[in-house]
Amino acid sequence: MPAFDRRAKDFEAVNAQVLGISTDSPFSHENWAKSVGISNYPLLSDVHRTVSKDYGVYWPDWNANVRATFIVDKQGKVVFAERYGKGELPEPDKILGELKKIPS
Amino acid sequence: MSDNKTLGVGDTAPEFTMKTIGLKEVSLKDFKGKRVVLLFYPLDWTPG
Repeated sequence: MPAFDRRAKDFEAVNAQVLGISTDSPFSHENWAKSVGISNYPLLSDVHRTVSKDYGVYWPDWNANVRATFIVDKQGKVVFAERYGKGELPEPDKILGELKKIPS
Repeated sequence: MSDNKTLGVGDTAPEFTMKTIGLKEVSLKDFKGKRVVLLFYPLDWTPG
């Protein structure tokens, strides 16, 4: 998500780490990241689909995951969860706003 | 572990270890002391 890459410093400033996750391989991630310009946060590969299933975002039709955002606090609890429909994308400003509501 | 349960606010975030570019392993616990934003997206080469 290039929109989040461009705002990486804003997330750092509020003591938050952004991680991108999909079921693609690290090799696919590397090509895609270069192509769209993602270099400021890691892209992780859920190749076994176990993480998608643990987080309840597995999408059987595509053997992939749906689009969703979770914020995990310093105690390891989920404090924000949002799932997206077709054509919907997470908004960096909205996520930053949510981070401001919880202890940094 | 592998049924498609829903995870919501108040739940403990499941621990994970995944490979990133360069095949380095990254775990949730690597970021202790920080808030973590997990952006699940469907597939590389899809919009967003």
